[in-house]
Order: sequence, then C-alpha cells, then structure tokens
Amino acid sequence: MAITHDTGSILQVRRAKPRPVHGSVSSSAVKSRVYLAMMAFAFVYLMIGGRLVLLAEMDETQSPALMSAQDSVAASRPDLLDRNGEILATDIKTASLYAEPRRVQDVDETVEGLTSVLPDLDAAMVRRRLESRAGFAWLKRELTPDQANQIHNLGLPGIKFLPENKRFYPGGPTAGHIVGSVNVDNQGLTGIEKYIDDEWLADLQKFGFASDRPMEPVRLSVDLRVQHVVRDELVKAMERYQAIAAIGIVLDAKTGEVVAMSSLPDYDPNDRSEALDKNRLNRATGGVYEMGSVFKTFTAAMALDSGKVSINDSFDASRPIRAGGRTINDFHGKNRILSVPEIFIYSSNIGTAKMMLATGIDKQQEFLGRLGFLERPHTELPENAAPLLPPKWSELAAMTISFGHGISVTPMQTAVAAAALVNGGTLLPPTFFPRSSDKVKALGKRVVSEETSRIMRYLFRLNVLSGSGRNADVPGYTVGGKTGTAEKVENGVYVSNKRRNSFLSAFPMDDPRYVVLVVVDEPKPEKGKYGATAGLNAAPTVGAIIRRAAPMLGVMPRFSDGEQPIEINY
Amino acid sequence: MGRYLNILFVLAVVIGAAAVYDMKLAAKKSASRVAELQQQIDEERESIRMLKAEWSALNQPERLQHLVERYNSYLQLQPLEVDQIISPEDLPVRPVQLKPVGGSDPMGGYAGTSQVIR
Repeated sequence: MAITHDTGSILQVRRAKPRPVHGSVSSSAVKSRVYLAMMAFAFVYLMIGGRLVLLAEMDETQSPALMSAQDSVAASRPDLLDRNGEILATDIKTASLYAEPRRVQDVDETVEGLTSVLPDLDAAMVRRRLESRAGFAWLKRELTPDQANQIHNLGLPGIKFLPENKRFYPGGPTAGHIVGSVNVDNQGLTGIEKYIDDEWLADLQKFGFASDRPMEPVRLSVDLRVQHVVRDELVKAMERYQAIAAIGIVLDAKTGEVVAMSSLPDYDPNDRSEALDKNRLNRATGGVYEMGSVFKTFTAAMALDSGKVSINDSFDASRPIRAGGRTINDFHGKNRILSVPEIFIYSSNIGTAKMMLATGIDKQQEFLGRLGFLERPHTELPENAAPLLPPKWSELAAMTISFGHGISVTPMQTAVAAAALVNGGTLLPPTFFPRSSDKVKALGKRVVSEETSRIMRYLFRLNVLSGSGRNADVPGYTVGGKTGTAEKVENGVYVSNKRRNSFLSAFPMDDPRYVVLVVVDEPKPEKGKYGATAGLNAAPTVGAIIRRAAPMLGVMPRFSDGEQPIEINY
Repeated sequence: MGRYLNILFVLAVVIGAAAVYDMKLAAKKSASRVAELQQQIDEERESIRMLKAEWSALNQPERLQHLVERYNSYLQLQPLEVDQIISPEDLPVRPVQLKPVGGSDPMGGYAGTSQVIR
C-alpha cells in the first residue's frame, strides 16, 4: 500500500523520472539532420519518378502465349540441296494472322471484316476466340501475301500478323519420300527433315540459336534430275502395266550414296494431309517384300564364295524337290542338268535350292546376315522396316529363301547387298548424304571375295545378254541384272496372277558405278502381250531409267570396236 | 586572371557540350542508318530466297519435261540417244576443205611439180 502511494500511477512514475540529460544540440547538427531527411525523401521521389519514366517508355509486356508462339513460328530450317546444289526444300516467309482479343473493340465488325477476306474462316470459331479476352489467339496460319495485304488494309484493331517461315518444296512430290515433310510449326515429321531435327536442329532451336538466322544449307547425295527420271519412268510403268505401286532405287555402287529413290504412290510434301496416307508410305525403306528370284543372286554369290560350288559345276534340275510336304518346281523348267550360269539365267528354283544345299544351311544364314538381311537396316530416314524372317531356319525355309520366298526384306537392303556383290565385294551402308572416299574406306566391310564379285558381274551381264533381262539392255552401257517375279501371298496362299516383279541391275557391268533396282507391284500384261513377268515390265523400266540417267551421271557409253556408228556433219 | 580562366573553362564546357551533342546526334543518325541498311539487307536476303525458290520451282525437271511435251510441235526436240554421246578425243579429224582457187592447176603447172633443191 505504501509502495503504491509513493510511486503513484505508471505515468506519474515516468513523468517523475528524471529525463536523461543530453548535451545541448548545436544548430549545425540540426541542419545536417534536416538535410539528411530531405535527401532521403528526394531520393525516394527520384526513384519513383525514374520508375515512372521507365514504365512510360517500356513497351507493353506481351502475353506469354504470344511470346511462345513467336518462338515456335520463327524457327527457321536450313535449305536442303541436292548433290548439284539444286534446292529440294527451302523456307519462305509468310504472314500468319493472330488476334489480341483484349484489344479488339468491336467483335462483330472484326469478324465481318475477316470473313470478307477469308471466306473459309469459321466465323463462330473466330467469334469465340475474340470474345475470350485472352492475350493471344491464332486465327489463321500462313496467309498468302495478297490476303495479308487486304486484311492489313481493313485496319482492324487488335488483329495482327506474325511473319512465319513456311517450308516450301519446289519439286513437290519428286523427292518427297527422301526430303520428308514438316508440320505447321516447321518441325520435321518424316524423311531427312526429321533426321535433321533429331540430329541437331531441335537442340539448336531449344536453346534459341535457330530463331531467324540463315543457316548453312544441307546437301544430300540425291541428284534431282536422276530422281525425276526414276519417278517419271515409274509413273509411266505404273500406267502402262496398271500396277498398284512401284519402287525405284539408284545407288552409287562404290560409295553407297543413294542417288535417287522413289516409291509410288507418293505425296506432295507441300500438302501435309497427304503425308499421313498409309498407301503413300515409303516402300523403298519402310516396306518389306519377298523379293523372289532376285534373291537367287545372293544364293549364287554365297555358293560361289564358299568355295563349295564353282562356276563350272552342274546341278540336276530335271525333277522337282520335295521337302517338308512341299514341292519345289521351276516356273519354266528346262528339265535337265543345268550349269551354274544356266541356273542363274533360267532362274531355276530347283537348281538354286540345290546350290544352297551344297553349300549348307548354316552357311546361308550366316551369309545373309553378313549382307545385312537379318537385321533392321539403318539409313538416315526414320522409316526403316525390319525384315520378316522365318520362325525357324528349317531345311524347307532355307530352300525357299534361296530363291527369295519366306524372307521379306526392304528393297533398299536388296540394292545395298547387290552393290556389295558387284563392286568388288565391299558392303557399304546406304546414305542420303555425300560420302567422302576416306569415309568409304573406313566404313567398307568385305563380304565376298574379288573373284566372287567378278563372277557375279559376269552372271549379271550374261542374264541380260541371253537370259530374262534382255529388255533392260542399253547399248553402250553394258547393263547387267537379275529379274524377279514373285507371286504375292493372299490369305496365306501364293496367288499366281498377282505378282511383285523386280529387276536388280548394275551398270556398266565391267566396272559397275550404279545399282538400279525397280520393283513393280501387281503389273498386268501390257495390251497385246501375254504374260507379265519381270522381264516384260521391270526390266524395260530399268533400261529406260539407265538410258536417260546415265548421261546425267557422267557414265560414258562404250562400244567395242566397229560397233558404234558415228554420225558427224561438218 | 582567375576570371579569365573561369570564362575560358565555361567556354570550353559549352563547346564540349555542343560537340558531344553533335556527336551523339551523328551517332544516332548512323545507328538508324545502320538499322535501315540492316533491314534492307534482310529484305534483300528474303527476296533472294524467294527468287531462288521460284527459280528452282520453275526449273523443276518435271515442269520442263511437261513444257517440252506440250510445245514439242514447235521445239522439235528428241531424247538424247546413246550413240550421240562421244568424247572430243573420239571425233575424227575435221577434213581439210580448202579447194584450190582458180582451177585445178593455179600455178601454171610449174611450181610444185619438181623437187625443190636447196
């Protein structure tokens, strides 16, 4: 009680407490404090003012959707050139139309204006997008310059253009399967376009280095002129023989470069919707087929290379072989003993099977593996089909495989293996890019001996001179080749009136520079002719291709003495 | 003395400021010119691309073949035959086609009939 009295209230206590005694404050100190405060305030106001100026000067921040759209559309791609520098694919600038719905003042007027220029524009969709109040909305990609100009002249607020790179393929479908195609955002979907994306372009774009700068063009090994010749001849062949599909490959036998590759029906890469049609797939690398008698080439090479069969040997082809409940017969049998070259040029199934049996079934499997027939081939194209092999490499399977049935491989694999057989025995993986001679040396893998290769060249030439390939001959170019007429399987049974015909050839046969493979699917007999075997359709197509393409490829025709008439007018 | 020095400095500052302003203006002008030229270059490059694309579209073998087929009644072109290809070395020597001028015996039968004795 006494204590409370003494101290009183807390306030009183405080008041009662003696104030701390400071020294007297001098006037200069007061001044400096005031200045300090003034400076602090001035600093703050300056900051605010400066920020206001900055904000006033700054462009309005773009909506994130617009920014990401700009990033993706600006993506440029390198030009694709053929081996002579002709353009296969290039970028051209187009304008794409977008809206900033927040800025659109009159939706009705805008929709009306746009549909007056672009009648195919979905008005309801545009209206919905414009009313969304979003920062960014695509309206139409890739306008023509004329349309862009008209819309620009309408002067609609909130409607803007974004310059875009559009991929343009001047050749249209000519090299469609090789160059491939891109989607609307210029990303590769198929062909070399996809390969470039996978290899380096996608990474470059991801880190923003590919936005809009011009890039080094990419050169391919394809020759546009030869590519056109191949495609043109295939189109004609499909028309003449009413075939449902056709494949043509021209391969440099010494380097493995693909000079031309065409698969019909094909698509125009400028028209994106066509690329997805299943019937237009790339059959040359993306389809597997029983190549038929063409495979006898590889059986003959295997038998000769093993040393167990020599070119002077003979086999009895007078009676059919029975194995595993099946009978192997000849298509147009000679019913007599045939020598190895005769087996080859008469395309005897019995003789070929016996040649294989003389060499050995394991040896056959090993040899086909060496030529790359047992695994998925590797090319730069994304479409590479794996071969269809027999479930069990039995005696019957081995015998049918020896003449090209019971194993399905891609035409490209076949051409590559044939190149190895004729070029001196070196297997080179195919490529769509130019290959230097150093690289050829490094990549080359010996699969057969020089001597076997020499005999194969002789057999190829012999078959054109006096066998089934006569129609492929072009005087001066010493064409050699092997026909293949394979019956197609329908519902598990071979049908005799549906065939897949092929002709595997090389020229000039004394030192082959190019391998040409043509496959014609389901050809019908030509008008006024009976029969539709490979010698009647695939072989003349190859002949026509070589006749037109060889001068372009720089292969000089050679005639033995006195054979060549020189017509000269001075 | 000090006053003159001051005036001098003030003058120097004014002149310096004017010079800097002028330079800045010139730099700005140059920069905008550079930007303009850059844009022109880009436009030129773009039009070169366009023209190249057009050139290759017009020169497509398919298109040319089509045109030749359509106008061949006028052009009279034929496919190249194999025996028309020959290297320059294989051509026979062009025959000399110099006929004696003034009859078969222009020298009056005198010159060239007997051996020249040196």
